[in-house]
Amino acid sequence: MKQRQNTSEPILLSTVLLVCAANLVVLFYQSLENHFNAFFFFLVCAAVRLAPFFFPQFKLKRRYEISLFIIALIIILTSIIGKDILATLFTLLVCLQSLTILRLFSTRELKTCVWVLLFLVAANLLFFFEFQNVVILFMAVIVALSALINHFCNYNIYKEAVSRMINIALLALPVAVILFLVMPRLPPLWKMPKVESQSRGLQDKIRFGDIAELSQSSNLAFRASFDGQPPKTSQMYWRSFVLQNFDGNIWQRSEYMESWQKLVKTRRSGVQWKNLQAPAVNYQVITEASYQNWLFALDLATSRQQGVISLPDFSLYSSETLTQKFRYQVTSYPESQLTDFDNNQIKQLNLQLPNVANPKTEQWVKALKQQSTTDAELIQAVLNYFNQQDFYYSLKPEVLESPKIDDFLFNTRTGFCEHYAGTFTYIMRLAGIPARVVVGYLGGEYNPAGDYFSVYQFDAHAWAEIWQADKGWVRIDPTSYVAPERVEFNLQQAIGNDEFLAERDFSLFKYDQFAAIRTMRMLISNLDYQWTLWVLNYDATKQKDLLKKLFGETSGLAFTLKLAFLILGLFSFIFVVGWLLAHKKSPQSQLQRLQQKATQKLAKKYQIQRRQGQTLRQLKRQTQQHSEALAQNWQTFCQHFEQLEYAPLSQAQFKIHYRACQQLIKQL
Amino acid sequence: MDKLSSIIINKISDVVLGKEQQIKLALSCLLAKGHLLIEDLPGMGKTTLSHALSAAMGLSFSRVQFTSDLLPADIIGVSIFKSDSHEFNFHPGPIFNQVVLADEINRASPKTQSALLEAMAENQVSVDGKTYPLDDPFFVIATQNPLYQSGTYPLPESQLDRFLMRISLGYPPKTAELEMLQQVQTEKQDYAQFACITATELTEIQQAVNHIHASDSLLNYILELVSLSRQSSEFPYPLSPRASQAILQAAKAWAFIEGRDFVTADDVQAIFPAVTEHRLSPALNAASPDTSYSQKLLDAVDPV
Repeated sequence: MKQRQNTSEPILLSTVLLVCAANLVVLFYQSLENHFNAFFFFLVCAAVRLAPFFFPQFKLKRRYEISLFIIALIIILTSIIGKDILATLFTLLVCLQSLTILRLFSTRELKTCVWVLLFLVAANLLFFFEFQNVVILFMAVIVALSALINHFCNYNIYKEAVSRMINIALLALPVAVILFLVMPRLPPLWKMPKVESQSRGLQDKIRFGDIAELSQSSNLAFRASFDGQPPKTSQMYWRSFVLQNFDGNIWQRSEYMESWQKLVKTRRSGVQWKNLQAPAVNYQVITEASYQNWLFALDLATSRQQGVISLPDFSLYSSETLTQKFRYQVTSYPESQLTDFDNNQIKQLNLQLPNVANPKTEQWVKALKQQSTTDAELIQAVLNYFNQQDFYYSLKPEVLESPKIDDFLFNTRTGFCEHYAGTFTYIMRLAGIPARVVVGYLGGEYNPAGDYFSVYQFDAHAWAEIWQADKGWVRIDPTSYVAPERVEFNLQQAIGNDEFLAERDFSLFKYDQFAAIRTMRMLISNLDYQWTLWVLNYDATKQKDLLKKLFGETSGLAFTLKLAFLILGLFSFIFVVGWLLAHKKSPQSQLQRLQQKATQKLAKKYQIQRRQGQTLRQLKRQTQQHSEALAQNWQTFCQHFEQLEYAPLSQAQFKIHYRACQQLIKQL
Repeated sequence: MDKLSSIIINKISDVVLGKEQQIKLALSCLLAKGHLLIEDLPGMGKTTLSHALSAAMGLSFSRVQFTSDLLPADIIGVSIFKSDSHEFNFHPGPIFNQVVLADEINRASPKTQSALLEAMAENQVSVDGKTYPLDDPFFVIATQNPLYQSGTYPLPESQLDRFLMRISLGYPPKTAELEMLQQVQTEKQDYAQFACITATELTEIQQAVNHIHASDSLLNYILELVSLSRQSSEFPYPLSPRASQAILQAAKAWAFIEGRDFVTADDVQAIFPAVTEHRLSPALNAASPDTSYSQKLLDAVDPV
C-alpha cells in the first residue's frame, strides 16, 4: 500500500462521491428524525461540491457561498426555537457536516467528515436498532471508510477501495463478535432522553371505537416463543390490563388497582400467587417499546424475573417504562381457579355503575332476570341475544349517541370487540354479577422458521370476566358469539381482506394470499426476531449463560484463568493478524528478503562483503577467489534473481525462479 | 551475448585491437539511436573505430576534418548559382551520409560546431529557407582532443548533452599492441567486405531495442541515481531528465547486445559512466582527472 506523503493532495472525485454516498444514507436517517431541512441542505451542499467535477467551468461565487452559510445558520436557529435541545444538536451536526462537504478540499476535512459520520451512525443506531437498519448503516460506514482508503492509497477506483475495505471489515468481524460476547455488559451510563409524546399500543382508557382504530395498525406488539407445546391460537388470550370503572363512555382503571401500580413503582413489590394448579406453560415474551408498563401474558401468569410484577387483577406489570424492547420469562397456569379473594371488595369494585342511565337496557335486563332462575341462564340469554339478533362485527362502528349502551344494543348494533365486552360487562353488573373488562391481544401469527408467535396491534382485543364465587374469575368473550371467526382464526378472516388494514394499502399483510410474499414477510420478521433475541437483548445474564455453556462453572480460579487465557488469546490473535497484514508479502519485499538472505550467507560463510552500489553479479569475482563451484552457483543464482527482479514474468514463472533461488541459497 | 552483436563486435575487434568494451559501448550507442563523442589523444584509433563501425553496419560514411577555419557550409552544403539554367542548385555537404565522423570537433569555431549539433538535434538541415531531411539512420561520431591541448574550442555544456555517450579509448593493452605490430601491413582495410547487416536491419534492431523490458525496480534505480545527483551539492551539474532517458535507452541497447530482453542493474552500471560523465563534468577537470562523478553516484546507490 503506497502511503501518500503529501497531505495537500487534492480530493479525488471518487473520494467525494464515496463520502457523499455514505452521508446520504446516514443523513437520510436523520431526516426521518425530523431534520428534513438540514437533510435538504446537505443535498444542496453535496451537489455544489460535485458540480465542478462534471462542469469544469463551474465555480461557486463568494457571495453564494456566504449565503449558504447564512442558510445553515437559519436552519439551526429555527430548530433552536422550534425543537428540543437534542434535536437542535443533531441539526447543528448535520448542517456542519454539509458545510464540511461543501469545502471538502483537503485531507483534514475528509477526516473530520468521516469522524462525524461515524458519530452520526452511532446516534442513528440508538433510534433505528432493527436488523435491516443495522445492515444499511454498516454498509454506509464501509463506504465512508473506503473513501479514506481511496484517498490515502490513491486508488481512484471505487471497486478496489470498497473491496479492500470489505476485506478489512470481514477480518474485523470475528474480533467484533468475540468482543461482543465476552466484554462485560455494563448497564447504560445514561438514559435515552427521548420521551415519546404518545405511548404506543393499547391505552388504559378505552372509549368505544378505540381498539377498532388500533386495529388499523400492523405494527408489532410483542413476540412470544413457547418452551413446549403452545396452546391453540383461539385460546391465546394475552392479558394486558383490566378495566373496572365505567362512566357511561370510558372504561378505565379503578383507583384501587392504580394504587397497586404506584406501589410497584415505589416498592417494586406485587402479589405472589399460591395454590396454582398444573399444568404449567413456559414461554418468553419480547415486547416492543410501548412507553408503558403493561406486559402481556396468558392466564394465569407469574414471572420470577426481576422487574416483572404480578398485580392482583392477574396482570403483569413492569417496574420500568418500556422505552425499548424488553424480554421476560413467564410461566402460566391456564387451568388455575383462584377463589380466595375478598368477596366484598370484589363486589364493591366490579359492580360499579355509571351515573348516566341507560333506561332501555335496564328494563331489558330486569325482564331477563325475571325470566331466568340462575346466573348461568341469564348469561346464556344475553349471549344468545348477541348471537341471534343482527349484531355486526365491524372495524368502523358508527359513533354512538348518548346513552351509548342503549344506542348500541337497540339501534346501531355494529361494534368492535370493545363494544361487546363493555356492553356485556355493563349488563352483568346491572344483573348483579361482578364483572370487568380485560384488554389485551388475541391470537398471534406463528412463524415456523423461528418457532415463535408474532402478535400485532391489529390483534388487539377486549373481553369480559365475571366473578363466580365457586370458580373465581371466568372469562367470557362475547365477540365469539358475534364473530366466531375472530377467535378461531384472526381479524383478517373475521372482517375480510378489504376492510382489513384498509388505510394501509402498502402493508405486506394485505398480500398474504401470495405465498411468495408471505414467505418473504415471515423470513424478514424471523430475522428481526433472532436479531432482537440474540443481539439487542444480549445482557449480563445471557452472557453468563453463554460463558457457562462454554466453560462450565463461572466462578473460581479456573474460570478466571480460562477467561484470562481467552482474552490473552484474543489479543494475540489480533496481534498476529495485524503483524501478518503489516508484513504481507509483496513480490518486491519477497525479493528484498531473498537478496538479503543470499548476501548475508556470503558474508557469514565466506566473508564476502557486498559494497554499497554493487550488483549481485559483481560479487562473482570475489566468489571465484573461494572456489569455482561457488562462483558457478552464484552465477546461476544471479541469473534467476535477475529474472525475478527485472524480467516480465507470469505468476508461474515467478514461482519457478523463486524456488530455484531459494534452493540455490541453501546450496551456497 | 546476442549472436549478431557478437559477430559485429568480433569483426570490429579485428581492426581495433583490445578495445572490446569500448566497441560494445559504441555499438550500443548506435543501437540506442544516439550520437557518440570519442575523446582521446591523436593516434589512438578513433577514426579506425568509427570507420569500422559504419562499415560493419553497412552504412554510408563520410569524414569531416574540423579545423579552425571550417565553415558551416563546408559541412552542410552550398547552393551554387548555375548560369546556364539561371537557378540555384544545392550541393549537399558531407553531413548527408548515414555515419558522419566529425574529427577533432573542438578545433572548429563555435559557429561551425553549432551547425553540426543543430543538424544532430533536428535530423534535418535548412539552407536558404529550404529544408533537407538527413539520412536515416543518422549517426554522428565526433572525436575531440583533450581540452588542455592548444587550439581547441570547448563544446558548450548544452551541446555536450546532445551526445548520448562520451567514451575514450585509451592505450591498448600490451598484448594487443604487440599483435598489431606483428600484423602484416596490408595496404588498406577492405571495408567493402565488412558489412554484417544492412541499414534496414539496423532500423529493425533499433526498434527491438525500444521494446526491451525495464521493470519498475530498475526504473526506480535510475531515478535514485539521477535524483542523488540533484540533491547532493557534490555534483556541480545535476543530471537532466534527458539524461535519465539516455541512461534507460543506452541500458536497453546494452541489454540487447547482452542477448537479454530485459534490463538489469548491471546494464545500467555498464553504460552509466559513458552516458553521464560528460554531463556531470563537462570540462574534464585537469587538476583531478581521476575523480569520476559517475562512479561516485554508482557507489552511493544500491541497485534494487
